[in-house]
Amino acid sequence: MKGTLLNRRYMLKLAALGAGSVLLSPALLACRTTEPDDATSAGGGGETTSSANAPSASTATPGMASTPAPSGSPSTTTDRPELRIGVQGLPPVLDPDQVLSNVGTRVTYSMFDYLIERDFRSGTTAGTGFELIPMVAREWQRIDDLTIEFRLRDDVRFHHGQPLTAQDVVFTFQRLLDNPPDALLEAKSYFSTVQGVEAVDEYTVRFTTLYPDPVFEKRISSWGGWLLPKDYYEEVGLDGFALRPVGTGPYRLVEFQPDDHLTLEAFDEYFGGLPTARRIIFRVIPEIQARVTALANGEVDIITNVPPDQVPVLQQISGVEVRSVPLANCHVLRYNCNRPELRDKRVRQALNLAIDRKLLVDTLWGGQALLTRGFQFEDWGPLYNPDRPYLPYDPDRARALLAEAGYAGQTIRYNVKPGYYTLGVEAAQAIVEMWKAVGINAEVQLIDWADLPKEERVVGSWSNSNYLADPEGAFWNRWGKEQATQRDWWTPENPRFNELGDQQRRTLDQNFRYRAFQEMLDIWEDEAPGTVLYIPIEHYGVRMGIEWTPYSFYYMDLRPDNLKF
Amino acid sequence: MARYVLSRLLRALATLWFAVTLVFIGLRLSGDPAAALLGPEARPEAVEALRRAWGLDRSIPVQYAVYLTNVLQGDFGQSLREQRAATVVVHERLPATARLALVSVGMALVLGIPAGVLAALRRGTTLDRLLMSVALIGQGLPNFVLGLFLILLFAFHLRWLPSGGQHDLRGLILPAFTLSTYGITSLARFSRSAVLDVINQDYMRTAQAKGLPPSRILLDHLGRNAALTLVTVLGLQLSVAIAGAVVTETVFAWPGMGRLLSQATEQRDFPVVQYGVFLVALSVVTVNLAIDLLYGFIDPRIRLAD
Repeated sequence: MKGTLLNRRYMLKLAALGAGSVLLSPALLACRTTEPDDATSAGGGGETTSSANAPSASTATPGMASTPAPSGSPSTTTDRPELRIGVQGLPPVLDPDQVLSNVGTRVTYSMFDYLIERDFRSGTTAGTGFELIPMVAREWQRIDDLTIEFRLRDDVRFHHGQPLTAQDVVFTFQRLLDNPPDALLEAKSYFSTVQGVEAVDEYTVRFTTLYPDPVFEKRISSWGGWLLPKDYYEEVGLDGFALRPVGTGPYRLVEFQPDDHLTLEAFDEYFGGLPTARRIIFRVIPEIQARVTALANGEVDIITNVPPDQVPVLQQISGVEVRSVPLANCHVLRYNCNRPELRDKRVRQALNLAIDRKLLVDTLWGGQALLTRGFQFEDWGPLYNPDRPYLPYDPDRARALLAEAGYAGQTIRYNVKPGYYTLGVEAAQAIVEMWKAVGINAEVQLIDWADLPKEERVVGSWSNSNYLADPEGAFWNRWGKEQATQRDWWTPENPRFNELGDQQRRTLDQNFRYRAFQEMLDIWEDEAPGTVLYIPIEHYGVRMGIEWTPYSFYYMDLRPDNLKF
Repeated sequence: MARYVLSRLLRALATLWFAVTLVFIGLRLSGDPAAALLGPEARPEAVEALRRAWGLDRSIPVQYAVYLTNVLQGDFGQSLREQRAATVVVHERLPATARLALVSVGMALVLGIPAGVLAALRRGTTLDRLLMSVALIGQGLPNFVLGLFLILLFAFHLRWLPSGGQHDLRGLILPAFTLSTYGITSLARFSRSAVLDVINQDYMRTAQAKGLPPSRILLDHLGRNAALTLVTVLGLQLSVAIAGAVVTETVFAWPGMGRLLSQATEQRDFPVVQYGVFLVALSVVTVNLAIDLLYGFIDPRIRLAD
């Protein structure tokens, strides 16, 4: 381009005008036209944002949506402050079951409620509690091994003014269970054990499961369990609901521009008490430095996704503090046991023994990530073994195992997608050095996994979320039978692993489940199809004086009991 | 004249075809959108089904023929991520990009030209050297460095301006300035040399001798002669603001086309990238076509020689 600089002599103002009009004319056009949408939907799945069905928008501005709201808000709304939150991204749509992702659940959590709620503020470490408490259901009980009944509150209203009844609850789950569109398949997968749901009377709902499901209550209070209004949904349909959703939560939609901001306002008829903020504004600020500045500058009150290296920066800004919580997630490695260089389990064991996890935590994470006792999370409660040893670091044993296995210096590639996991690349570089130190010829492969054929994957960086505060929803759903891991990476040599896994998910006997999982973890550590690195810590920057506790999920709980000014 | 116009028009169309084809090939080399969307855990059957639904299972020449046919009919297809027409997705971002582009061009004009003229009139002085050094540094500084530096200075330390976003008008200042550094520094350097070129001409001495006020001399003689270069630079600045704003838009949380295109590329959203690149190519080609036609119109020698 610079070469043409001096040749272009006579363009005068037309150059500027011409380009300007080219730019502006479609821009102006776009403000008026909206195109019909008859798209087929793409399937959800995987770890990240699921696909989105977006609008045959009937709204004035493209990309904007507003809720049909009942008549004006009470005057009390003016007395309460506005809360502005700087986020790194927003979901493409707001149907809670379509955006089962970090950025999605963060915002839909304020618009929708569950039958029963996981109380993250219970327990010893703030934000990681796992006690289940009433929400829209005031009580629930198991009638027999296969049947569970919920008694609903009678004072719950949706944002469009209609009361919530058993019919809405039945509809919510039937939407997922009865032949759902592709966009809802991932949400459906969390309810694989449910056989049916029926209304007993106006405020009683009964679920039946295919077999005794030990984690049913946890399923109903986690991803996919948000309650939707039957009448409104049937009126606007999947696409309409995705941009103009209506829930029962403390805040209702005002305005949504997916790449810019989301504005919610207090829903004063919320059954859980008067919301403490007048408005909530989520502003997209993708660049961390700009997010930190926006907080320091008073443009926002809370910022999300603060990486460890920005923590000291935030700590020096007056009026601002860092709040941190261990995530319900662990960073893991997965080994392709079908590859010749990794077929011998002693090589894989050596890889695991050569990793100094404590050093990674201390240097990369400022000592704040958590080491684990095997593949275990403390919020598994009765299924957590506090005496299981931490994953060992033993370079000498690693060298011995390599020699025993006859490892001859084959290159072992560690695949990591830059920018995907916090400190993922740094960890990869450090671990590769640790492997080299015991004589493994390793290298980091910086590439998007989507560009790498399955059979060429050797060591893959991965993370496993603890969806259900139970090994069923953290471990078995990632490493178990019929999962992608056993399809593409590893076939357990010991058949007990899959036998026990099948049995534990069909019994209410927690003692049996505890023993089964401990044995499965022994097998997993012995066969070493992968390993846990650590549990990452998530940091938020918060203006002092705002009482708000972050949770181990990416949910931001802005309900009256967790947000005070 | 008709032949000249026709040849220029054909050349513009060929350029557009080239851009449209290049982006098609580049995207096909970059990876599989179905695998990217469904994630590493997806069942192979699901990935295959999605590829079929999107027509990605057909051979590349067939895909290319279908694509070209549709483009000729103005159909750029559905976004793979948002389930809407790619054109709608891209058009949504145009107002934000247009606003930033126009303000940055305005800034380049208002800051660049006076600086260059001043440096020329005071040539050889410390002021001249200072201005030109700043211009040189400004031209060499990558936008993400400058952008972050400006955020740190004006938003973080001084707290005069917001860190970005289009929530109030002041939010435009830092991103527009960052984006206009190319224009400001180029304009300053070119207007300085343009002024120096004409300042020693005979007609300038005559004008001075006639007793014309210095402002008249500058406007009439300097202005007219230097304007060509200046507008050229402005046109280029506009292209920079349209096509090259990826980094600036990300740093300043500006929801424009640059950010959309980089995201869409990362997600392998082929239709959105294809239409976005087409639009950028179209705007650049249109500008160049206008210039070419104007050349011929103003200077008959050019079209005769052609």
